[in-house]
Amino acid sequence: MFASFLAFSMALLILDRAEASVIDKARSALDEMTAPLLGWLNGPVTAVQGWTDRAQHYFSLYEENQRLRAELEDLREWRDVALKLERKTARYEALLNVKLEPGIRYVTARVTNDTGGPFVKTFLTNSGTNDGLRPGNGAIDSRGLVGRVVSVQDAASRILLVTDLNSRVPVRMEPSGERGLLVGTNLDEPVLSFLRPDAVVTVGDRIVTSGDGGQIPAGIPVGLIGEEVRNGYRVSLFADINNVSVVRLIDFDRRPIAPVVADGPATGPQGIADQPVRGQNLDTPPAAGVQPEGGQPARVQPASGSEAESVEEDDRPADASEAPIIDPAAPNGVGGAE
Amino acid sequence: MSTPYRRSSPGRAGSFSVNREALSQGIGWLVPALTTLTFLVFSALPWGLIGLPRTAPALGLMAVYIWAVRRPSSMPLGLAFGLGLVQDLLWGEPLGLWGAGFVAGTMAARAVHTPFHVDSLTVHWLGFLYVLGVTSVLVWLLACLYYGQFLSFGPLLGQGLLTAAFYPVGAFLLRSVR
Repeated sequence: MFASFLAFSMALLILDRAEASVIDKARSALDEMTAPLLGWLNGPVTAVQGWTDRAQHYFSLYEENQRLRAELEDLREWRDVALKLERKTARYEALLNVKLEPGIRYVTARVTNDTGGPFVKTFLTNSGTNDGLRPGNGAIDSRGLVGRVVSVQDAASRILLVTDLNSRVPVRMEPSGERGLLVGTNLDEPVLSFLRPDAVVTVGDRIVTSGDGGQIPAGIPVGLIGEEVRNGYRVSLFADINNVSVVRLIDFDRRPIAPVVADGPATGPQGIADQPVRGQNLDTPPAAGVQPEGGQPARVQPASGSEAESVEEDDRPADASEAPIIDPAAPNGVGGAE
Repeated sequence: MSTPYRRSSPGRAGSFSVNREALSQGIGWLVPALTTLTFLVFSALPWGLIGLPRTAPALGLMAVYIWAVRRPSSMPLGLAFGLGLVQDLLWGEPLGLWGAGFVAGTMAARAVHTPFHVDSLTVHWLGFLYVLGVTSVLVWLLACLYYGQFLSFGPLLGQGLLTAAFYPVGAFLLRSVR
C-alpha cells in the first residue's frame, strides 16, 4: 500500500519538476482560494507583531531619539549633496543622450502566507494581476531585494525569496563592477557565485542588482559580501527576510522605449546620438530608482508598514524637493534606518 | 472516541441506530480532515513576524498523528496523502513531498500505537518524535532526489524540534474535539 502511494508521490514530483501546467494551475488555484482566508487570519498575527514592536520601542525611546537626531543631522547634509548630484547627473545624461531605463511602478502588498516548509522559501502577497503584476517582478522591503514574483493570480502573487534554492539573481559588486549570480541555498545567506576567475572580491563590498535579464532594475541594494565558501561568497542580505510583513513589488516596464525626438539634435561624443531617447527636461531629475550602470545606488523608498492594502504608486518625484534621501553612509544606501 | 451505538431493535428505532452507525463510519473522516486542514492553514501564517522561527511547525503532521493514534480508522492512508498534497500546495513545496511524508507518518503512527496502547501524553509525545523522525528522513530523501543534490538537514531538524515543542498544545486542542 505504502509503495503505491510512494510511487504516486514520485510521479507527482517528476511532473512538478517538469513544470507541468496542471500542477501550476492547482497551485495557483489554491493560492487564489486561500489568500483571502489567510489575509483575514493574518490580522491577529500582525496585531501581535505591532504590540511587540511597540513594547520594544517603548523601552528604548531615549536611545532611539538620540540616534535619530544624530542621523537626521547627517542626512540633511547628504540630502543637499544628493540633490546637487542628481541635477548634475540628469544634465549629463541629457547632454550625452543616455538611454534611460524604462519607468518603474511600485505596488505595495501585504504578506498573507509565509511558507513554513523547510525546502522552499516563498510567501504569498495580496496583490496580483489586478494590480498589474506579472511573473518576474522584483520584490523589495525597506532595505533591499527580497525576491521576485514567480506566479500571479487575480488578487494574489507568490514571491520566491532570494534565499530559496531555486533563486538566481544577476548582481553586480560595488565599486568594482564585477558581475555574478546570487544563488539561493535555503539558508539565510545566499551565495555570490559564477564570478570571473580573475574577479577581485573584497569582503564587505556591496552587492546590487545588475539589471541583466531585464526583470529587476539595476541598482537595487542586495547585501554585503561575506566569507568565502566552496562555490563563492556568502552574502549578508540587507533585507530582513525573516521579518517581512509588507513588500513593494517592482513593476519594471520592459516595453521598448518609443523613439522621441529630443529638443535639438544633441550629438554625443560616443556616437550614440542616433539612439532613441526619452525626451527629458534638463531641470527635471530622472526617475527615482533608475540608475545608469556604475552610478549611484538605487533609491528605495521605505515601504510603509501601515499600508494594509495594495497601493499603486508612481515613484517619479514631481520636483527635486520630493526626491528621496540618499544616505551613502548607510550600509544599503537608503536613508532612514528602521 | 467510541461511536455511540444502540443495540438493534425491531422497528424504526433499530434502523435509526444502524443508519447512525453507518453515517458515523461514512463521515468519520470528516472531522479529522477538517481539523487537520485548520492546522495546515495555521501553519501557513507568517509566524516569523512574532519572533518564532520562519520555518513553521508541521502542525498538519501533528494532527494526522494524533488522529491516527486516537482513532486509526478516521485517518485512512488516502486521506493522509490528500492532506499532505494540500500542505505541499499551501507551502509551495514540490507536490508529492509531504503527501508521501504524511502516509509514512500515518503508518508509523499505527505501528507505534499498536504496542504502546497507553493513554499518556508522554508516551504519545515520544511516539510522535519517532513518527517525526521517520517522516523527516523520508521527506529529506525525496527532496534531495527532487533537487538532485544533498540538502542541509538543518531546517528540517529545526522544524522537527519546533513541532515537537508544540505537540502538547496540539494534542490538548484535538482531544477536546468530539
